Amino acid sequence: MAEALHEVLLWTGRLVLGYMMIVIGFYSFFTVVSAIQLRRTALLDDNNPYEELLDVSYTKPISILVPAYNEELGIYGSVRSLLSIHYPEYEVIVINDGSTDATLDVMIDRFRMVPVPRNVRKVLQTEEVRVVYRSTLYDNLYLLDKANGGKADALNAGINYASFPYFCSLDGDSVLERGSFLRVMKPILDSDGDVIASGGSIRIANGCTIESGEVVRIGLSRNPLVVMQVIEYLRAFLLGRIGLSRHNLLLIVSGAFGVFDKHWVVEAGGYRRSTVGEDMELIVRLHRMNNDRKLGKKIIYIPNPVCWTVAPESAKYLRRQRNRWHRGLLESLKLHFTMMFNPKYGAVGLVSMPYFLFIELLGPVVEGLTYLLMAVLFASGPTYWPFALLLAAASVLYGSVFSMTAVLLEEWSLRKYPRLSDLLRLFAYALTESFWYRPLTVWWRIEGLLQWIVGKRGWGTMKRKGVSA
Amino acid sequence: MRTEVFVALLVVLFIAAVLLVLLCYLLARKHADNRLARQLEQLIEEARPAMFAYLIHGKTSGFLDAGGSPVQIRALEMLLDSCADVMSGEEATRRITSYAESTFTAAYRANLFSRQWSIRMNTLYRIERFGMTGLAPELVKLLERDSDVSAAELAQICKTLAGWGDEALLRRLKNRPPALPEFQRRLILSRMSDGLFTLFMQERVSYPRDWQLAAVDIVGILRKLEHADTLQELLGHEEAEFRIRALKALCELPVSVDGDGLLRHAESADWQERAMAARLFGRIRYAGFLPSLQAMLSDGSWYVRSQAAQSICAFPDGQPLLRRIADHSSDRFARDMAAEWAERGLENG
Repeated sequence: MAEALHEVLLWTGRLVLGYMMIVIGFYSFFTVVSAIQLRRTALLDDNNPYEELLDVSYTKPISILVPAYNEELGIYGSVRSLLSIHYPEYEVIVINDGSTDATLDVMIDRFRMVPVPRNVRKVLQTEEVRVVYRSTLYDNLYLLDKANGGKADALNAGINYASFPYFCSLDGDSVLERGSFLRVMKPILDSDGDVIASGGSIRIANGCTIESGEVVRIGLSRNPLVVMQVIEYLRAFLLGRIGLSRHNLLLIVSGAFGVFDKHWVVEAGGYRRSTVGEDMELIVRLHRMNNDRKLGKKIIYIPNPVCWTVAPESAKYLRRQRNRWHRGLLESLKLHFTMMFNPKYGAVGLVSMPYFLFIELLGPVVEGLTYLLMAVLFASGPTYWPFALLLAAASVLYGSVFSMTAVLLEEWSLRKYPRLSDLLRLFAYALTESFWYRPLTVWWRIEGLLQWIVGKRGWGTMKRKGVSA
Repeated sequence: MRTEVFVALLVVLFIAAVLLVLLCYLLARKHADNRLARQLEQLIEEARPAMFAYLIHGKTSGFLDAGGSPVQIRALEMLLDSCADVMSGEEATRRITSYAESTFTAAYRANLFSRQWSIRMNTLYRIERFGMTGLAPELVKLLERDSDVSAAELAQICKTLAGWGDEALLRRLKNRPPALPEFQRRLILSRMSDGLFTLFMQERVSYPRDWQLAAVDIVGILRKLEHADTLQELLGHEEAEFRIRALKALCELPVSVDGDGLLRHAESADWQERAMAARLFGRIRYAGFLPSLQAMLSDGSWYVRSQAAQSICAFPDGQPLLRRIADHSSDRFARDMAAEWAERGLENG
């Protein structure tokens, strides 16, 4: 009996080791691709390529959609910052998704909004839009007041009312850098329409100094949870997405900041209502359509344009966010499971989908099992401590290598933490990740899966702080 | 020591060493970056008065010798760049060019062939910005090469040569047109000196279709009145895309167009042509267009209806007309669109 158990444990250990090797291989490959790419553009003078796009005759106008549900605190600040972005022609459409707080009143009041008749081609089905308002202060600012239907429904309503060929979805609590739209649109223009979705980087605004809707000084928060999220975001965006994007394997364009070709999103059926991961689900569906119809379109990520967003500062809200993200990931993969390992979908079916299933979705489960296995092993018999400790040290250190490489890539990009002490703190936190943050997020993600299994589907409430502090 | 412990120890030491090297590199780099930034700032401040004295009054005493160190060259380059932002006028521009040519030519000539893409790109931008026409032969050489030149570089070279009126560009466009996206084609054509653009238009049919279409757009965007006749001629083109672009460009030009002759575009099978015709009708505001515009309010295409309503709105008594249509038309689409624009017209004054 003991022998059999030993055998099982041994094989489980080997499987975990093999799994880890694959994961490390994947990450290392993406890291190299990202490093080459960022190095190539590292010294490029940032402003030159974009000035010429400021003439509308050469650019395409954009509709910026801001879905808002109970955002009375932050909505004024974020809309205000949108009205001063650097882009030749755009409209801002705020969609009040049946808020129960004063979001609608704040908008009407602060921007002097009045009802206007507006005919639309209702290309996507949504909950009823009760009134369309237009600002008397800013000609390009609209507000839709609609019955509650969730974020996806609000975005679909926005798409119906958008008058321009490209639209951008934006969270109500984020701050865009002024030049971000030019940067995110450049590859779309460069591709003559072959790029149908383009997303920028999301960075964490906590700790930065924000004045009238603009980040004026980049700083690192003192809150350990936030610093860990900073490292996580750098890793996710700079290490992961550049590599995925280069091979058209990207399955996520962050819901917080992405530009889409309206025509193709409508063709694909718009945002799906009954999922919490509507941003990922749309991208997967666009890939699916792209392959089904052999359109040859691309979905890309560009590191340079940055959208600053407020990260949760307490474990309570961070936990809800991670629960939700993981459920969203699961739903998207489940809805499009037929693409998995399906050669018809090319690299997306053979690489991206399995990557997101085995590494992103099931990763926490494997990691959780490993913790469990370790506990069982320690309890079940004598431990060969020198070896165990060395393995533990190796796993802690290797995680930190990826984190620090992400920081290195950040140094090669354009927005850097200015102080030496910031670097040292990032380094110190990266070393501690395996002891507290990693197990926490692993558990939260497993929790997300468990919630899904017991039938939980909603968003859960998030506490908004607002950006214009 | 057992082998696996030894291997594990080696692995740990190796990862720790990598981590340490990374950290040291990051710290050293951050330190060097911050120092370089301070140094540049100081050099720029020191050179600023002399640079202004030269650019404004032509005084050449003092600083003009860059000394050759890369940091000094970089500082002067940044300073000149910021001056180019704030100074205008022929004399200042001439001095900026003359200073840049005497100071940066050698460095830029080498940079153009640097192994690093971003250095080559930055150099190309600066050459254009400072108007360093002395480097035109190098740019032409790059233009005629096909390998090792990225699309971004090629586009930038084309734009620069376009601005300088260099005919080598036209040869390249005619013989081996570069595969550039539409907005780059437009930018290149829009940068062309008047002389070069006229040369292009004279021989336009010998250029690829994409470039011809972009040129039609540019005539409208830059309101190049001297090419209005070409647009009128294109209204009879057999391909709808040319007619659409010509209609669109004509919307931008204050020229008289034969009103009745345009009515056939309102009957086109192509909705884009109908929409553009509707827009042009609103620009010309010839009463003979109104029946046609009213009919377009019931068009199957939303864009045509919307454009027709906007154009009616632009007529002197367009708003009351829209109101009447909104109240009495038997077509629901026409009513809705007319109502929206009757209202919007009021808002917009």
